[in-house]
Amino acid sequence: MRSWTTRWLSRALHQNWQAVSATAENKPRAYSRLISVVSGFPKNLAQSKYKPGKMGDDAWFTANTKSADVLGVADGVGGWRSYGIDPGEFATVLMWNCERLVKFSRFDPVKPVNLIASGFRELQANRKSILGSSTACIVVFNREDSSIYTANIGDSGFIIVRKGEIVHRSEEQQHYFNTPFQLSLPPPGHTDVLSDSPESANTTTFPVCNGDVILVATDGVFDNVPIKLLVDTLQGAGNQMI
Amino acid sequence: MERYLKDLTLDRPDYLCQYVECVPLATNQYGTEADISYTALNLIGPPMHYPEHADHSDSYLLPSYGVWPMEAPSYAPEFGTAHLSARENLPIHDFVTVTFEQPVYPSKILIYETYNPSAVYRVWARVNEDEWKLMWDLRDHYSEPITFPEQARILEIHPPALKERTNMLRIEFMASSSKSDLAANRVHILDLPDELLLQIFSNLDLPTRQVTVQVCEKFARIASDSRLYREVNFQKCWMQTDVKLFNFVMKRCNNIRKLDLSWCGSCGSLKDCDVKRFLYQRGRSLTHLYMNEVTVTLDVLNKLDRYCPLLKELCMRNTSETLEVILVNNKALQHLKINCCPILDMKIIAATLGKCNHELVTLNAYKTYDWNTAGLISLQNCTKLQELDIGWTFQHDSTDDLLTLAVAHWPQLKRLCLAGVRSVSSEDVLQIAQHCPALEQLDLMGCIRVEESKVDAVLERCPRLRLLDLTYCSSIRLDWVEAARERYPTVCMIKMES
Repeated sequence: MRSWTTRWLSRALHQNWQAVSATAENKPRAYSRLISVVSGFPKNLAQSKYKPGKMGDDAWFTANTKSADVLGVADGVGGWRSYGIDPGEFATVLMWNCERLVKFSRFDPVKPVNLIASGFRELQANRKSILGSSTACIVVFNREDSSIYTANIGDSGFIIVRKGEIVHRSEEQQHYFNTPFQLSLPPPGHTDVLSDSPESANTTTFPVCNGDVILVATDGVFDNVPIKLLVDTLQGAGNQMI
Repeated sequence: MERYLKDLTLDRPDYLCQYVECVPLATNQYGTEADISYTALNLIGPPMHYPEHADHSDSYLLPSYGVWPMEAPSYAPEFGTAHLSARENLPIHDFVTVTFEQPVYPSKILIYETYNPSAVYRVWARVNEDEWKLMWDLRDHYSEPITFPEQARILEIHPPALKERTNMLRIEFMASSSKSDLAANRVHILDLPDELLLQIFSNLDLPTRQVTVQVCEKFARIASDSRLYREVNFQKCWMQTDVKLFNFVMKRCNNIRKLDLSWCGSCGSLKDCDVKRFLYQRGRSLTHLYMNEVTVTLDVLNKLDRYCPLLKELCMRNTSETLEVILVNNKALQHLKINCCPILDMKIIAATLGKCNHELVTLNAYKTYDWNTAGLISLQNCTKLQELDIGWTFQHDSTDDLLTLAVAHWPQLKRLCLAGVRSVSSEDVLQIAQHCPALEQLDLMGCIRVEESKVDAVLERCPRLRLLDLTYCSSIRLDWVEAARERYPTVCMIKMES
């Protein structure tokens, strides 16, 4: 299972990089930006239907403004399935809200925690009640100071690879085994449910350079792919872009 | 979706297809200024959902619908509109202004309606910075009464040719269709007795009265009679309301009771110093004051209790400032509408209301923040409460039986809105059934814990119920609702889910 996952992932990354580089313009740009690709698949690949932004219980988004590029992932907590709640819905709508907030410039590039908090607040304003919980990891590339600003709740995360080494990474947040920090909207009346506030996110900031490769992923990647292989694949893909 | 967007491409090089770039003002939306779900912000950019018919969170949704606001206890009939013909006095309470990047001569305007279409009543375009030209009027195309099928539609407008370019549209929405009957006939008027002239002049609009004083001394005297200015409505002629007209009225309205200044402020030409001067000089006798979409400074609000000691009804939509001082000094206050005011601390407001405003009949406070159970408990002192809207409050509370204690103290309750208050329990609804026999409108949208049996209790014990909204109540099935409709045909039960 492990090697199949890895091969699939690295092949997908390569294919996507190639597609992007084929369409990239030749003239140099005046400003720095992220070039991004996404890859993933849900646990029940055979049964699930493709929906943009959603991979089974996980969700992602990318968005750009004049001042920043933003990446985000969220991992829906599977335990809700037994309550008749689709774990992926919470994660998907959370990420979609964050994407829309970025598009409407309702966010501060140096405060990604506020983006998560606003996305979560908008989730609650959905007329149809959306229940469930998820992790969240947001990475913002701020053009002004060429740095990334990150916020991470739970066990999703990111790594930054430069010259074959990890130079910066996120810290996992777990309450206990298999129970990451999570934003949640439990069914009303259930008071004993784990619910971490957006403000409990780990935040970091780090200056990045041309050629750095940033991977934002849910725990499925980090748990199944050996780290050396991951770093080598990312560095290889990054080298192709330069 | 792509198919519909392609239809817009035109093969003439001097034609331009633009989507909304910015939304400077929306008088009403299903959220606060900070929200992006359901708010007017979603008018920006290309249409995303047509032809799907649903209430998507990334489209613009108006909170009020149908005749129900007119049947609520807080409804006050319009005043100062006797001079308006049926054609002129439209039931328009809401509008939104949108701007586009490039000023153009519009040849076609498309409005994508994806949920309960037919709200649009008129469309105007702004030219020359301050003039509005009518682009479209519903009544020129459909005869009343109008009903549209519940499906998404594109309202296609072919406006009249404009002499100047425009990049701003104002889209007016109808509240409900209502008719007023007033006819005007021509009569030779110079020799009529004063009383009759007074009656005739009461049917003239304010700008016209301003002109009649110049005709002769007799007209000047009668048009200045303060009885003509007991109830003044500037909103109906907001486009023509300038400081001159304002001063004209101010000079003559010694005993003014009701004043509607809506839309004359931020969208019109009145400044807050004009408003302050008016209230200082003439506010003494005011019982009703509407200042929707008017910028009012804190300074004015702080003195409102002194300027208007008799105030019973105050409407200040889209003029967010602190409120507490008004409440403390206006013990006679009956109707308070503070929907979507995010800066108010409802703990303090509710406590103040419970302490000082026992005449309170209406509290509309949906999408306000910082509520707590203590707030609801303080409101128990407002035993004359007939209308309570606390939709989308208590978002972080999972307190059980939120309302159970409180409803027993509001026996006259006629309208109760609990939309989006997820913690409302079945027991709460049972208590409502037991303690509110006068209930006419109940909104339980999104209350996912409420069970069918408790809703049944409400239907059984509230014989005057006319409206029941059960949309997104996930514990209540559509076929149960359909069966309930058969048993209670006088109740309008709403369950609009995609």
